[in-house]
Amino acid sequence: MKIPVQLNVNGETYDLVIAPYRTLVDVLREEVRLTGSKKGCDVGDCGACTVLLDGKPVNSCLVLAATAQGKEIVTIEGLAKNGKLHPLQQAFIKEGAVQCGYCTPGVLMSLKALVDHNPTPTPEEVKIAMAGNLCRCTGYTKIFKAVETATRQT
Amino acid sequence: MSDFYAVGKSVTRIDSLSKVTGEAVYTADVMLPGMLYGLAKRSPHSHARIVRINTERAQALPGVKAVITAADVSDILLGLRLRDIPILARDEVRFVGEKIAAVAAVDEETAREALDLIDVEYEELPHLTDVNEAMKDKSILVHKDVHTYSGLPKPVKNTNVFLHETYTKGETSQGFAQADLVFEHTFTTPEVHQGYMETHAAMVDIASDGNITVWSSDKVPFRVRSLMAEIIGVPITRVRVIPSFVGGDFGGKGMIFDEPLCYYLARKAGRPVKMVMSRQEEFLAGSPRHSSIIRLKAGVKKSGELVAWEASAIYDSGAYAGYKPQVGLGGTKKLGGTYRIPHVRIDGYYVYTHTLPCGHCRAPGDPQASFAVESFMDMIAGGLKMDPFQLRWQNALEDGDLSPTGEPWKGINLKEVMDAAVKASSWGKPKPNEHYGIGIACAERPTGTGESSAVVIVNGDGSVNIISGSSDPGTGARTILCQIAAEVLKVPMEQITINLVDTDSAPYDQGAGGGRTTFVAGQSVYRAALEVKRELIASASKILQCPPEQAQELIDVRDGSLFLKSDPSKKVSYGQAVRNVKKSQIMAEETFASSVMEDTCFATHIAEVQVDPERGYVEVKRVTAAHDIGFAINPAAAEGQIEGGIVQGIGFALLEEMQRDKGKVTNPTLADYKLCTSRDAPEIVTLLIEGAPGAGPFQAKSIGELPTCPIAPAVANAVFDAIGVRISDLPITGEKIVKALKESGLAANSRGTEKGAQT
Repeated sequence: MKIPVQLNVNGETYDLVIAPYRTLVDVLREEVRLTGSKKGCDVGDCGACTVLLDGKPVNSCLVLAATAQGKEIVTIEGLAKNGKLHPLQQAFIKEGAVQCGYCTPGVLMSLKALVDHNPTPTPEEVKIAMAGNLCRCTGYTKIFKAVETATRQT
Repeated sequence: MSDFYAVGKSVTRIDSLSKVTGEAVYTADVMLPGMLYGLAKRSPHSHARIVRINTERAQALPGVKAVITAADVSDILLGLRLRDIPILARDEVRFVGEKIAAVAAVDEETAREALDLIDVEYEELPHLTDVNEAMKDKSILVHKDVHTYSGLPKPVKNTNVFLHETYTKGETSQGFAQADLVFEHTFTTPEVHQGYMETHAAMVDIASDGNITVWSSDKVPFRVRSLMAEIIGVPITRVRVIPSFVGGDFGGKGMIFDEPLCYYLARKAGRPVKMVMSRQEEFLAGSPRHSSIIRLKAGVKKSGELVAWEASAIYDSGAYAGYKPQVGLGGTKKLGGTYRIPHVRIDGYYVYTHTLPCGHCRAPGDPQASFAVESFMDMIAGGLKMDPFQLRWQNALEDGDLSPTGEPWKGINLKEVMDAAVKASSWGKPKPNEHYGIGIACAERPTGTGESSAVVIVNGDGSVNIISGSSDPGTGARTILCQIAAEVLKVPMEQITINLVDTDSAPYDQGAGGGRTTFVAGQSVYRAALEVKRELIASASKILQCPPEQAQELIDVRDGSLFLKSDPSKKVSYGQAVRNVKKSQIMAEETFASSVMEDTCFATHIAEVQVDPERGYVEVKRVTAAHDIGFAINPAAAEGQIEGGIVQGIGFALLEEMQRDKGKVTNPTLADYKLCTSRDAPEIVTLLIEGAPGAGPFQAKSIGELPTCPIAPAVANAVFDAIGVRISDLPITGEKIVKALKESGLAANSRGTEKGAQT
């Protein structure tokens, strides 16, 4: 049995008919066709699927898509506004904070949630904010540097 | 370095914009109309006979479009050298997690339901899950037909030890006779997963004309093509492999996984099939780093001079050995360290067991060897009451020395690297508190060899294309290829394009791995760019009225123009030079192949740790890493490799272990198998030591793999320095530290000998 669900993703409304057990990450990737949110574990351990739900970072593999109705969903595809990159995106490019890039969307969404509430975070606050986002490539070093660069500009 | 145009600079990566916006497409992101979802059914037993498989109930489930077993697939055995891996288990399963059947259905949920409806009857058989038992036992053989397998380096029969490698130099009995002291110790390391964030993904589409298109997360598209063509029994031209971005590799993405199953399911269903491994499947049936048992014995003079060295390593290969391109592991050769030792013997034993098969993981075999050798060096220093740095310095290889296995490396600069690391670290400085420790370790690893071809094109508008089938699993390698072409042709990076292209559209490339891309693919691009430049100059000589025989000396290039060196105002654009020969483009193709490496790369890591002796908690505070890199084409990318390698190595040192119960992995999630998080990352000071010439363009050496080698022993040595206990069994968990402190009879606040202070 499928149910109608209306999702607001990056400011656009999507009318979908989906099975009630489907997770937000699967519906975003396969129905809305926004594949920027990645699946690394599907059980909330890796953070690659992090999106913002009413401004809060969530593992979208742990959210049933139907329960996201009526909430504002922001994915990595919604981070740049009007063709202009978010300062975090700019800083990630500048500082070489991106390697394989698979964790990058989730990391950026967790950090956006942080800087939206705390525009000048301390290094420790940055570490805590993204402790749920695993990255195997960078050793996190250049990500920390990128946040420093981005928040210095804002 | 300021003379360079595009190399030696931390230019931004060509792919980072697409990666920060979510546009970058990875294999699992590709969706085709009518695509089915495939899943594999796996063995719950370590060793069993498959009595029968009944797929009728699964096939009858609405939405299921295909079910396959070994009866439906080729009986070819797969492997990168030694061929021992069946596509699906036939008659016998050899580890928990081995694939025995697969289904394709309209959605993942239906496929999952169908797996449960496949009825399998097993007859359990006695199994060997302990490597020591498997070495001795000849009554139970993991592969009773091993002697019939192709790719065995030496013939073996009736044994689970499918390979015994030896390296010798001098005569160790003679060496030990000269020694004043003999040290012996055994070290063990566990299986660890590569931990790439993107799990393996594959998709196959078969066109009506029989042409096969494969999407794969593999980093070696041309290898996927040849293996698939061989399995299917068609020429390689019938298989086209489309690469996507690779979400991390670390050695684990060099072999095909579900690609053959996708093919057989697609053929049966008449629709494209995609399979994406779950994280749990990665842990049960990936191809992780081998666990090892390493015994070391050293003969030393009272002065500290190393005179004899014996090493033996036993690697648990698991149920199959086909994931290793050399059958053995390069790390075995590293069991003599980076020291001048006249008499050396190294033995490596590779053993089949009924556990998950192991493969290549960042510097295959090296982190195990490095942990053992460099922990042992500190133990020897302790026994001699010498400073650990001093012992290493005294025995460090110098130019002209033979390596422990007898190789005459050119340009040895180990002491320069050690010196740089020590100077930039806190070595020898007062410790901030009682349970703070500092440890040092050295390692080496040569640049990788291989074969690559590349095409460089200068177009009529002056823009440049590079066509290369190389892959970039996140290292920045393809950005570096652009920098190389930009440097030769003196055009801005923005004018150079290198797209991901399929195996029909690019010439052969051996793929990333072994630290070869900057060298091998780099040389092919470098040489093709030089050839294009030569042709551009030849064309420009006519316009500039320069004698053609002297043109290559008299004309130079800058910013996409050719000019007379004697009068730079006389110049022509690349576009003019192209049009002048009445062509739309000037292009060159170059193949570069190398199988011999005459130098190596050295590294020294110094780790500083804070230990809480009550809980055994170790925090790595700071790592100083000096790396011999020849020339850093992109320093930020090189630093990124070092920083990532160090944090991965800290995981190996302190956190990571695939725990097993009778062969079954019992912690197959990222919640129970711990990777370092942002909170585990230390401050990292990176020193790129240039000057010792490498074989790559602009004398570059490799950097991808070595950074993950010396860090674990540096941490282990720092832990010893902090609290006076030596953990020789990775990972160094809090439990082990607390237990070792109790057993050593030391009070929690005791500490090891002061060492830094002596330098």
